[in-house]
Amino acid sequence: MKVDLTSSNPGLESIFKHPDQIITLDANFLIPPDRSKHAKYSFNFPKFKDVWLDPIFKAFPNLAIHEAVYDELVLPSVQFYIDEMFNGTPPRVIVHQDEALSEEEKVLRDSIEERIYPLTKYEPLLDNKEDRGEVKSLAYIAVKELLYFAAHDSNAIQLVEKAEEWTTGLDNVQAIKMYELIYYLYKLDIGDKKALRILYKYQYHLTPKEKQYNPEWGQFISGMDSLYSTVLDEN
Amino acid sequence: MKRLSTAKLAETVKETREEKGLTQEELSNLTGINRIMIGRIERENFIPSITQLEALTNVLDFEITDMFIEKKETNSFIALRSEALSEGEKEGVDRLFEMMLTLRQQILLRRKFENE
Repeated sequence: MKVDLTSSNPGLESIFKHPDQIITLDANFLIPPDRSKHAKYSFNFPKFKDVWLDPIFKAFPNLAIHEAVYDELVLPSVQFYIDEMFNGTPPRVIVHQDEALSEEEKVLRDSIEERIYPLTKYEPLLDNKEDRGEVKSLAYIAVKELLYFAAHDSNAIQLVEKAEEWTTGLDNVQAIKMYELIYYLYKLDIGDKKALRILYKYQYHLTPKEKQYNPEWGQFISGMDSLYSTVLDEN
Repeated sequence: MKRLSTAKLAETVKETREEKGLTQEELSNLTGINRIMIGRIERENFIPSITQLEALTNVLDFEITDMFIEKKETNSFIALRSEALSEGEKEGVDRLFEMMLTLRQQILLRRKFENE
């Protein structure tokens, strides 16, 4: 995954101003990343929870997942965590359910899904698990006119960012990347800054190739500071 | 399975807009939909949201459901899967599907990139 420091993301700017907006998460925001092929260490669930999950749920009161993403959470610890969030009073996570769609919305959902799925490994006729969560989430978000899809998957992000060129029907959706929320947490002093640096390094600055095209932590923070100086000053 | 026909929508929006003597700009002002998006709807290049569709139907007097068409699904995947009898065969078929879907995705993505 590439880190883009050339232009600001209007979605992140808006989230800085109004963190209470609904942000729908892809499964890879909830599942501990495993890059043990490239690293000597890995993120087990308790560590990932401390570094990432607890801070994002603290920072954003309206995080959401689609029911298909919930089904992808095969790790019992992750499922338990989301169940706890969902069953809390008030619930700390919104679960988007396709049953909530009206008949007209369902037709629109199917029409958008039809545009997206051929560009993924999901096939509606098989209803296979591969990329199912992202296809279902994106189509639901588009139909319900929710704005943000947070993902750590370059294909899912492209479906949103290239919506016009690729006619995916996702023109009104905005992608939020993991590094953008890492920066958000860092700037607002939510969570452990050292741990956030480790997470950034693990996700974006680990392999020799990533070290070629992605900035190291210090450059990343100063680059993001330049992009978001106006919104930070306003805050 | 019903789908929104972007072709039918494009034709309806363009025809009824012209019948009512509206420019894209005027329709944009009446519906709150950006003029560029109106242009894209008329070029079959944009799927409007339900709210946007409702705004269009209110101004141009047509029904959303008239824009839906019935689409027949081809069931080749299911047919192939039902041919598999044993667990081993099922696993093999699923592996084959996985490879086919990856290949389909790669071919289509490459085409998209080539067209950019």
